[in-house]
Amino acid sequence: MSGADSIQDVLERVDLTQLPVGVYVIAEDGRFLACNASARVVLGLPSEGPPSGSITELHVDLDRHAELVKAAQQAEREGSGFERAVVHLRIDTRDVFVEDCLYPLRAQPGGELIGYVGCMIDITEDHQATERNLALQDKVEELTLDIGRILHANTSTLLMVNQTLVAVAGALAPPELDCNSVEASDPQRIEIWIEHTAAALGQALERLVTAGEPERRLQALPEHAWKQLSNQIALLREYRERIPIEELRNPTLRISAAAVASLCHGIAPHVLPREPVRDATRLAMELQRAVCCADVRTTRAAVIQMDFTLRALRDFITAEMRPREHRERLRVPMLIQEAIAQLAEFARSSNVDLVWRERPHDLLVFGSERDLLRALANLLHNAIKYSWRRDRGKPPWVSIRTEERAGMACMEFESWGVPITHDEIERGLIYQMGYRGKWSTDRGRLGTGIGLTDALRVATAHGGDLLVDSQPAQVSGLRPEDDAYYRNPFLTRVTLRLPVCE
Amino acid sequence: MKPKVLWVEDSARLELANLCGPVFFKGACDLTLAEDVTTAVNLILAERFDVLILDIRLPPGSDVHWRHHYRRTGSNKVNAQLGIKLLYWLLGRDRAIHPAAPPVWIRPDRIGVFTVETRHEISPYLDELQIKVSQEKNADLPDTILDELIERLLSQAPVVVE
Repeated sequence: MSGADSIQDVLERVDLTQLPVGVYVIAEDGRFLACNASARVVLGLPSEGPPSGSITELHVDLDRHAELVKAAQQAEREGSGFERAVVHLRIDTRDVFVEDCLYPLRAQPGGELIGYVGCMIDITEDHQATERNLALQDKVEELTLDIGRILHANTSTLLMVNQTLVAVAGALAPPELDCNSVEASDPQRIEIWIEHTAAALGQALERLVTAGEPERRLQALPEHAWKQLSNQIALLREYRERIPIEELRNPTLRISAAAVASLCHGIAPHVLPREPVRDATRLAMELQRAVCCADVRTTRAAVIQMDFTLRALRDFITAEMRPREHRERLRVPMLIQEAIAQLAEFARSSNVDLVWRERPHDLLVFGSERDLLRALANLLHNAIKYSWRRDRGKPPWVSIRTEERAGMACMEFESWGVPITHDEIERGLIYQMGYRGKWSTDRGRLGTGIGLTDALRVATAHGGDLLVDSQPAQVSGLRPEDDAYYRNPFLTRVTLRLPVCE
Repeated sequence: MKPKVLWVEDSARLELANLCGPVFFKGACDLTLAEDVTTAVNLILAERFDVLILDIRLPPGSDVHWRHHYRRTGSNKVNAQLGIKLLYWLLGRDRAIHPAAPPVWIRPDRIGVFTVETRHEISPYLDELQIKVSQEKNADLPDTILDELIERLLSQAPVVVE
């Protein structure tokens, strides 16, 4: 067998022409000797007649053909068969990627090398898609790290804000309340402080606006300023009735107190009796302090919540970037204790009591401490966040239970407050990334919607699961279709179940 | 009689509570809050207000029609933009939004929009509805901004004592 025609004859005789893969034969120098139909399509050669040109002219990398030939000869020597390689060709102006393999073709008898037989598949679309995916993946990784860095920077800012707020609270709180830090301060006592100071300021203003003779009063302050001071008396006395929404009272009192303090500072000296001026000024400044103290507490609760959310988000986003966490035997009480410690500040600032019932000391699970802690902290955070306050004198609570049931370690968080609808649980909506509960958004609570998604992911990765149940806290006779049904508090239990480790 | 103002804002008692201080301090108007669309609509149907100030990203509340609009956009306040739908319903531009008829006293010059969206983002809607007063929320705003918005609306459409 020799020459191009006879090799083409061989190809046609064994009916390789219509194979869905490109089969071709080249001479030692790369000239085409024969091609089947598929190879002609891939290589852009005429569909009939002897093929012309050389495969070396089609290679984008000129050294690539020599490398493939070398690899084919080595494979033949070693008897290891065909070596596949991805080859970049340029056909006219098109970039074409093929998976190609070559094998030496030898004359019989004699065994001298007469060329190479090759086999190729066009993988251009797959190759380009892979390239795009790799580029996209690089961008995602870069973005993930960027987001992680930004979140980290924001966490540091929040730490600074938090520490400043603690210092401010310490400076504002009076020693007789024995609350020189936000941790120790009791919101009820601050509220009473505000109430008493506002009432005292109202009385002091009453004395001030009648102090001295009318002519001397007008020497001390212009008439419109006295009118402004008089207007504040009623507001300070009746602020609860005038402003029915509790959260809006302090901002009003703060402005009122600031206005009174400013007017009192403007009173001309030595014109009016000193005592009523001094009392009104002192009480106005005290009211400002008291209201700011309450505001610091509220702001700090928001900062702590934001800090947790950012940390959870950062952990979630960078989860795939971290090396696989080491797994070990872990004591459930230790995990719960640690989760409580992480959220203690948030619970305190939200005025929610954490009650841990039933704590078997010997319950063990096997897993990643970091992942399990994150899952438990997410569940506890949700329970605190979605708790309603039952009445003025009694803070809300989250009840925690840990026990073994049917070979599973159950870690249950029960809260009283925001409902989760049956539909949201049944359809698994609450586990969807970014989903915010139907009744959770109405109360302006900050969240990312990844807490339960992440917790479920962690539970599943540890061979466990997550159970969610939410029922009306009281029997009311209302049905889910009734407007008021979901306006009433629900008892919500979220249980993380993990296989018990012996 | 003081002008009656309704502020429809779900963060009014939380992050934006400070903005109410100057309004109550001045005592020049009666301020009422609605924290979701259902509550806002119920209040608007029950009494007449001289000024309405609306957020755009609002929760629906309990009404089935508003909840339906909310669910259709994935139960997401940002996508739902129920404030825009509320405006179209209030001004009688889209009766398909809610079966109740809006009250006749609603006028675009008595409505202001106070939202995180920029004017540019929502101008197609506001221009079509002829709402001129809008304010973008950002961290630099003074705590008197709500009071200023009320004043702008009252000066644009003075309250006539009937």
